[in-house]
Amino acid sequence: MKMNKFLALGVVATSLFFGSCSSDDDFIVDSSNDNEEPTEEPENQPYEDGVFVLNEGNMAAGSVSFLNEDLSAVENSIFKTVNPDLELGGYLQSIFFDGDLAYIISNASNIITVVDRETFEYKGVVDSGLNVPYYGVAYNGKAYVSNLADFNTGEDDFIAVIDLETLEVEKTIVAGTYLDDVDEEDGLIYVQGSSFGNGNSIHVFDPATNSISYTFTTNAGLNSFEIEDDHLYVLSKTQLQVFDLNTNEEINTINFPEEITSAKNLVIEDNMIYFTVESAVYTMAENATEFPDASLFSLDEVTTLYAFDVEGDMIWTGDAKDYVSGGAVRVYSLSGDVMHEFIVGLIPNSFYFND
Amino acid sequence: MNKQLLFLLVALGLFGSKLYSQSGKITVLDTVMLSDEKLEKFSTGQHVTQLSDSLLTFNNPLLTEVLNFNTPIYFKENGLGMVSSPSFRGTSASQTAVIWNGININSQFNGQIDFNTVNSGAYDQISVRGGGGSVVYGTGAIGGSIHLNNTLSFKKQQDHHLLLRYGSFNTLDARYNFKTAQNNWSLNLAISRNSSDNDYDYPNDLGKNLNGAFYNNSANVTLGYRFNAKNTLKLISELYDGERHFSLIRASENRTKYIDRSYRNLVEWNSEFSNFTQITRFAFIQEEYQYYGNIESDNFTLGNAHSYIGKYDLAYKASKDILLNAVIQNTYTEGEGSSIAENDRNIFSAAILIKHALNDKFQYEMGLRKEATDNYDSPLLYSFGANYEFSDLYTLKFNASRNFRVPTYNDLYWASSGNPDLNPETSDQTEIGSIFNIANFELGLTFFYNQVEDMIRWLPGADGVWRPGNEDKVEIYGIESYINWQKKLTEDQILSANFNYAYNVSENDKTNRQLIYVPFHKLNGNITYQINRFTPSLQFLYTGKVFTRTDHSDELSSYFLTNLGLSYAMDKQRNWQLGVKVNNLFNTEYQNVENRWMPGVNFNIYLNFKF
Repeated sequence: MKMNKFLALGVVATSLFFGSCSSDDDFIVDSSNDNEEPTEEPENQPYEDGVFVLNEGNMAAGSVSFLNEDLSAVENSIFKTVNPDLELGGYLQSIFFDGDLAYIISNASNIITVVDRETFEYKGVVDSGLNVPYYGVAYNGKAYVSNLADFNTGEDDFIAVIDLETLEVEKTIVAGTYLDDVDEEDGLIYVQGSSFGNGNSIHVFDPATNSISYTFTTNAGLNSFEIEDDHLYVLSKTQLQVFDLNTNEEINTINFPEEITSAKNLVIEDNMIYFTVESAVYTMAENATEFPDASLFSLDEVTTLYAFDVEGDMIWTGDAKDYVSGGAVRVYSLSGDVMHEFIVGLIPNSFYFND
Repeated sequence: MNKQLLFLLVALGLFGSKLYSQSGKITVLDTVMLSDEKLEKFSTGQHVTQLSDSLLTFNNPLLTEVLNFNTPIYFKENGLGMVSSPSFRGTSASQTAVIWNGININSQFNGQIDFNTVNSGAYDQISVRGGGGSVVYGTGAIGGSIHLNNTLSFKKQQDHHLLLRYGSFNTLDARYNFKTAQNNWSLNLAISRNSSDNDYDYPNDLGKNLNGAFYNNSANVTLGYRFNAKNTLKLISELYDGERHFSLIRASENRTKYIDRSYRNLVEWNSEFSNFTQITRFAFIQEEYQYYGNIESDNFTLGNAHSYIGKYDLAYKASKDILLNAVIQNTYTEGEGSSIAENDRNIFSAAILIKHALNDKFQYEMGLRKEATDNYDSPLLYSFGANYEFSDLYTLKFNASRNFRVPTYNDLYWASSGNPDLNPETSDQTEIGSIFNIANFELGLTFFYNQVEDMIRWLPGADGVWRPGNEDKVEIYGIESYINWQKKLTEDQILSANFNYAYNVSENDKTNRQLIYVPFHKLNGNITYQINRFTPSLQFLYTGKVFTRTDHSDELSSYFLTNLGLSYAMDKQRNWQLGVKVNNLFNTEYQNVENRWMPGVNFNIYLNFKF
């Protein structure tokens, strides 16, 4: 109870602060939410609807910013506000979700902090058995988290299987290659077998056997992948490949023109493929066979593109600027107009749409 | 800047008139042989501070602590004993040159010296000079230079000096120095060790400093042989070996460690004929590091560089008042590292210097230097300095210079991102200094202005690869001041005090914002009161707030530290001393880098013997 009172105080104090300097009050926390009757389900949780921005931060600390549903206001360092005595760790890499919970991965501190995704109240932590954790996904009561271990070699990278009840790492499986992004589809875990452009594989990890059941070999310079409708889309610096997950066959290959040497940030949204090449955004249909004639538009406002996502008809960018000042989130329309701009924490690296 | 100049002139006028017509004091220096003789001869218009033996023994031996409490230099220290970089007169970490017996030893890899990898016990003399010095000392002498010197004397002697200190966190500081001279031989041997568990508690129950243990050993031999009154041969050899575990912020982090080794050798032949003095030097400098990203694994990354330096220095005393000096130097460096393929580079430099004493009161010097290398475009460097002694009470100093910092191995050769087209950073600076002497009171006041261009900064390109470029322009101005005062109250009571205050404005030209990790204000001082055989002393340090983000959205608070010491002389000659010291007396919570808490109150005791 003591803790709850303290939290409530923090939330109230913050809402007062933000209330006094913002013209829009929609996102302000109703302090009655943090009442002392936990059985009663509050009507509106502070972070129920909106967008989380994960700010990677530095060795000392990272943070999470929240944009309210109508994108009229930003609240920075929400974890610190709700849990003033706790920290998320340094170099925050990513967030994954499971039901009402969000899992925030700190690669420098080897911890995964569990919070309520609607209130951001601290729920627990995984603080042993990890070694530079990067990405994770939850499936069937377990989390599957890629760990880079020694940055200089891929040989020791492993997948940690975490029991989400006990928050203990119950098994680690060395993959034999660099590891990075993780996704789940039809009960299988897909793990990107490359890091910082080193590597050319996608591993299929089977939770039933806790082993890698298949490995797709991709073009070198692999940097992102997406799964959509039984198809695996794989982007490397110079090529887009599509594999059929039923047959594991490569069913489409688009070789990029010679001048395209650094494609990255693959996103699939509403049957369209998006990616970036330097500061240009490209798009094409899911079933396209040719590289598009021209880019969609150029992200001229962005100094250092560090996060990229597409949600509905909005293109989201995170600008790390000089890496030692508050980053900027800019939301573009599909025609390239900046619709919203926010100053967030240090080095915004990803977006999570809570709805 | 006009306002600044106006203020300066007014200030000078006020002080000049106020302090007129009182009597001065002369400081007598010991005559010892110094390899870095340029520091004495060519510092016209600049201020050189020599740290006294008592100051050096009062502090822990790591150079960061010694300089932090006794000079205006600010340190960004990543936790006690961890990586530490200076900001001297508002400049960046690689814009302070560290000069070992006249040789520039800034790292070939990053252009800096980590000030927690220098054990001050290895040297007889540590001096600090503010302002530009590239004409004589080469790259990095922009904010100022730190001079680490080993001296030699042919006066017949046999002296031992032993310092043993033990304190909180199992911290050991042991220094032994032996000096002997007989006939035409002279030997100076210094050995020191510093180690610590460094496991202090953070303030406010925030935890403990985990994985912070360190040790370092250094050994230094200086050997001289005098052939005759005009020919002397000297050898200086130094070995440093240090290992630090880098402290954690959180217990769950991977534990890392860092090993530094350096090996420095200098052979010097000093010869005089008619009005000429020639010094021929050969030096071999090696630096080596190993970084273990996880101490549970044997994997590490490394860097290794060797430099071979040949230097010929010819001075000609044209008359009683005019000294001409030419110096040519060739530095050949080979280096490689985990991310740096083996590369060598050769830099040839030539400098000419002239010093002229027009009369007893007015002297000036001029210098020019140019380097020849295919590594970068070398600018012509110059310096001009003048001193005018208006009276025993007041001396006016002026100095202007163009200085540089050359691109480092990391900048040029880092795998797939080094930029071979970099230019050196350049600095154009000027300073006006005043020294006021009244009886036992000395006040120094220096106003400086410095414009640094082509600052090298690593930024990610459009393809996401980080590369260095000549990016920034920084305008720096400020004040550096000191007060020294000593008074003999009675036959066995001496009160002395010294204070330093620095004000630095260091603005990025594009944003007009103060650089991160450069405080506007820094103040420190020492007060000692010798009463009979007891000497209580007080040391304090104020560091103003520093910004940690270029948009000034976050900062570290200012802090004030107090250290209290008491020593007792066991014999009349004060050769045997016993001391105790309390550091951070008021248990102040402070940090120099985000989330890197420094220790609260801690203690040490020491024995200081000379025999």
